[in-house]
Amino acid sequence: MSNHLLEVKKLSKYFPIKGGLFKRKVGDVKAVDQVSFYVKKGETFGLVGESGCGKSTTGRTLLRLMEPTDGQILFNGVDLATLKGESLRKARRDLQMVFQDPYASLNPQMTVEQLIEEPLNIHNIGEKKDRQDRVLQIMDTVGLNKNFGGRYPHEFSGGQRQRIGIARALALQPKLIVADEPVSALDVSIQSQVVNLMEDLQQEFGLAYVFIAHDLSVVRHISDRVGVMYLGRMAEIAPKEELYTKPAHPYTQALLSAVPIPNPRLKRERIILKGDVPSPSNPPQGCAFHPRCPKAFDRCKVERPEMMHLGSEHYVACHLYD
Amino acid sequence: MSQALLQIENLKTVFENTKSAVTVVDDISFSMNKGETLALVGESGCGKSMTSLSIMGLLPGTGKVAQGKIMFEGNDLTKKSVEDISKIRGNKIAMIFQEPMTSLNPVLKIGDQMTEGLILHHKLSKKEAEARAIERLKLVGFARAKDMMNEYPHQLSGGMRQRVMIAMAMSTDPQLLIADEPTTALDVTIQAQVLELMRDVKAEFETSILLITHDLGVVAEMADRVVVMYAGKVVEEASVFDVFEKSSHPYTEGLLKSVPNLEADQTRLYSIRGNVPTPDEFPIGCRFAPRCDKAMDHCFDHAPDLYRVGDRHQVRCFLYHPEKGTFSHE
Repeated sequence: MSNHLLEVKKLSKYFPIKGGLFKRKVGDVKAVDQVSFYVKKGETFGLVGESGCGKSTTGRTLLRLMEPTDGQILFNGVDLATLKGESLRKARRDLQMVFQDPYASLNPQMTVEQLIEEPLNIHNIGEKKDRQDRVLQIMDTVGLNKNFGGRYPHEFSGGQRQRIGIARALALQPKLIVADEPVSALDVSIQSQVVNLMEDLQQEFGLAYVFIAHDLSVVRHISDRVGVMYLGRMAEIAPKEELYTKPAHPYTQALLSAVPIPNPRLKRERIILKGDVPSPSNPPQGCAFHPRCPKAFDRCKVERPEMMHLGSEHYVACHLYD
Repeated sequence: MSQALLQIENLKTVFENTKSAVTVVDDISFSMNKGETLALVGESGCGKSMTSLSIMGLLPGTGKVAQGKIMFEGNDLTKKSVEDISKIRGNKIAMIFQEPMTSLNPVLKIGDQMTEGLILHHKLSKKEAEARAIERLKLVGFARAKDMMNEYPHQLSGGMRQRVMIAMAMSTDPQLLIADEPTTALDVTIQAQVLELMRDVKAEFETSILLITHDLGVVAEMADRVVVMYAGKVVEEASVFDVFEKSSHPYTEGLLKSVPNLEADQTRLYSIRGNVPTPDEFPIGCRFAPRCDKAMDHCFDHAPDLYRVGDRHQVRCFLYHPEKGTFSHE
């Protein structure tokens, strides 16, 4: 257990639904519902799922950018969910975030140097001179031209901007970076540059990533272990090799079979799921997936499946394996 | 080639203001046969969407077709008047867009939007149009098609909206369906539903589909032929099998190698260096040369033509020039 950098236990994040004359709480959107997983030092944990499954909310709650409703977030043994003020700020030095949209997540009125220096200022690190040296060093590390430090974000392409976002996250030498769809806004040829960069940085600094994405091919490439979420709940967690070759949960199986493969000769057996993802404000009783599940039986309609251990590091929440 | 449904010849689309003109589609030619699915592939800014908007006569702002022919069923669309084009558009040529929420009118009921084109183009009565609309909604898999006619777009999910768009596009039995990134905004399981639906529709009505996408997986699954665009130019045109198995242009090759594989592990992803150029800074010479691993000196100051490398397989690259040996090497 000692090599678990991050351990998330029964994490929940509910958003209240308010209605009626007095705006009283009438229900909850269970965006994240009792999710548990761990991340080891220096590994990449991929988090996949369709829109609305709660993967981004999970990522943000880990950094306390959103307040968790319930559960524990143990980082190096300290529960981040209970920290406040100064101690939370200190803890955040070790956890950083890279956002999806490099256009929206950088302040357009700051130069690249200012953007990368900002986290160092906030945490009062070093003298002005040291900080400037550090900025140049980081720019070099992420492949940004050092002479462009005085430029503004709009002068860069999407791929370059994502490098700035990564440089900001890297500035404090964190141990864990939560990357929320870091490459999905980028073109294919640029996407691979950024993925390669992230892998290089992991090697060099021993970083751990929580890599949130909806693109299953990218997640397979970068991850060591992968968690699949559906409607706020964790459906399956497994080492990537295992998950992609022997998916256990019917949802994982359908998800993988739905991905178009760039090979025109390949004719695959495809599991087409009927209907849409239900609303998380009113999730189905029992297993959240049962209305769309081709293998559902009576028990699935009434009883919510717990995570079951299938061997090695493979876990699944499905009554088929009970 | 007399059976070509759509034939684009030397199409050039330009955005002009008083000071300068930017060419976004530069001398594009390709043709589509009846019942064929042609995929137009490329990264952002390559001109693939502008090509489709040129065909539809829907270029925004100051954009206009500066040169070339768009032959549809033997008629040149660029020579047609605005009224004639609008008779063809939404009737013989239909289009579906990436974001179904922005292309459906939020204040009109589905039924009103579905019947508008039928009443306008086919001179159907309101009753007949409604019957046809309900039939087409059933075709795209809505069991409660009748009730849906009275619903508004916001009551539907993204996948349902895109299916409504397809039902609407198919309501006039078009010969050509232009689909601009039809599944990009959808989740994979919903994408699979929509792609299957498009295949069914094509099989039933023999509709030709011009599919615009950046997703090579979708291309492999849907297309018969592929046109790869880069920086406003066609760089390769071939059958879907040739593109994936004998891709000849260094850009196509690079693109295929950049995609992570769902079915196997790679140690490191291939990446094309540099960035996609914007239309106002297209390089002279071969537009891909600054990013190309195989570029020769010749490539930087001469623009290559399309060279034939096989049956209906053309490549815009000097590596396939018949007299390649005469170029100076570094």
